[in-house]
Amino acid sequence: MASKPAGSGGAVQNGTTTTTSTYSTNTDSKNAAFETQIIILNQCRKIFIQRDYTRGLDVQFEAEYPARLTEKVPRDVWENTITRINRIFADAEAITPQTIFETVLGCFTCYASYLVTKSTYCRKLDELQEFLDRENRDIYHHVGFHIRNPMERGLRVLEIAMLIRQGEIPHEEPEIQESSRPIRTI
Amino acid sequence: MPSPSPATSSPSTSSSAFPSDSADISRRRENLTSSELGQNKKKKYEVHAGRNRFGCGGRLVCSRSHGAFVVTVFLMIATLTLYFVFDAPFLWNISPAIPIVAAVVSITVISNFLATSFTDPGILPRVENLEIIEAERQENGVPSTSEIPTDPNTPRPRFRDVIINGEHVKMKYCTTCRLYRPPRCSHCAVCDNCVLMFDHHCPWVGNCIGLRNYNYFYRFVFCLSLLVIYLFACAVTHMSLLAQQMPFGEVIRKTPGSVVVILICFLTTWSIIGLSCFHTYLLCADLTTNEDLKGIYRKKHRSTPPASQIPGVPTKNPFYLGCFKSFASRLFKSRFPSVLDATGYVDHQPTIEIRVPVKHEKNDEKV
Repeated sequence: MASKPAGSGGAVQNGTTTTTSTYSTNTDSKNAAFETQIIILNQCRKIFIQRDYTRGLDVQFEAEYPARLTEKVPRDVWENTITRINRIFADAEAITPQTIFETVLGCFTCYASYLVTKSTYCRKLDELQEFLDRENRDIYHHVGFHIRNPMERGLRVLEIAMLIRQGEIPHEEPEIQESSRPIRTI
Repeated sequence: MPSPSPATSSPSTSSSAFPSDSADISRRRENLTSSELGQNKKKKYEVHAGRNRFGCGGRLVCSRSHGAFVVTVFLMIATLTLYFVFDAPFLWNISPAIPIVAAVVSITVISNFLATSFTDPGILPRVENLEIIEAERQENGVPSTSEIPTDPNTPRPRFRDVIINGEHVKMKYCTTCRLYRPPRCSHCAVCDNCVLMFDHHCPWVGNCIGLRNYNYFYRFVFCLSLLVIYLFACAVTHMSLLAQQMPFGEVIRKTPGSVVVILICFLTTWSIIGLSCFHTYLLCADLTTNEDLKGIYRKKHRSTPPASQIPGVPTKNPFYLGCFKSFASRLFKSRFPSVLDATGYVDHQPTIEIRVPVKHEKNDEKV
């Protein structure tokens, strides 16, 4: 794949705006030439999906359809993604014979087993990373979104970056340079 | 900061879709941004804001205050040494099983103690400026709430109300960490961190007790109470058996260590047994020490109108699932990952690579 010079950080060229039909075009064109673009996430606007605490403290995210995704990502695609993310976390938090065995083995080996084996939770997080990479690559990058791994934000929020497109100014307010912004004191 | 290499193995760091390329790209980005980022990568624990001490490249996390921790270590080492020097050889002659059991329990206690002391208790990392700015932009950008003033210095509401299993629970805003503390999370005054599922700060183990090390702590306290009783019984048996053969003064001269063991065990056993009973109760009731001390769910602390009508005053513990389930869920869940991720690298400029079909128009310089 041809790589762009590093300076071209900001833009996604793919100017697709609408729904399902656009996907198929993109997936079909996979055989065509691709180029790699580097996008600096700090420059992108963000959508934050909050944690859903209604059923307790287990990690779950709100499944509500974010308004900003309208016209870019069909509702069912989003729901499929968020449900899958939530299911991965639900599986990770569940008490299964495997987790009990893990704990008991840890106790009996003075936690030496924890040093050499991955916990169920860790394996689920790897699965999540894999899933997010796949979803981003196949769906969300094409329409200008990037779902970040929630571990980056301490599992408090799920962050979706709205990748900045060429020639498109974020519609709510002009660009603000982060460095020039004063540090908020509350 | 260059994008994290695949070798960091943490699921949280690498967001690149094509890790094979990342070395190349990070080199180029280093040239681009070296002026503001400096040359070498820093690990997250090196820039951590709380009062913690880290060891082993961020793998070990403990509090910076360690006075009582040293006392605990000294007491444990002293008691065990005296036991194995003075009592164990005598008891070995009666039955080798007696000192072996003591050794096994001691090893369990020590391993749980070390695990409690040096595991990240579930520290929530502080929120970056960028996230606050973006979150505010999101809240203000939504058309329905566009009337909110956009002055960046407006203080946030102190509480956010969430409904958990039908009960209103307040999420308090933490001005230090700049986040709404998740339910059951609390800010530790000693370590200056928000800790998930905060139980208490235990000076004796030199760490906070939270989501990630509560199970070690509970096993430590439980096994320690067994050990203390066991050592006490052994030392008393030893001395009384000797006392049948010789006068008591000679017994004391022969095994002065046993006397010290009996003294230490007798003095500590009450608090330790009390503590282990208390934590067993907390486990069964699915409470944390913090919640129990504050009495959040207790009836007598409720104000006169029915509490269910006041948002934010829960009438019962919304996390309680039944005694057995609560017990199991806090001891047998898979280990929660460290969201602090102290061993990971700081990434001030996270980037992603995306593949787009080649088009013929060129990008503008955006940086």
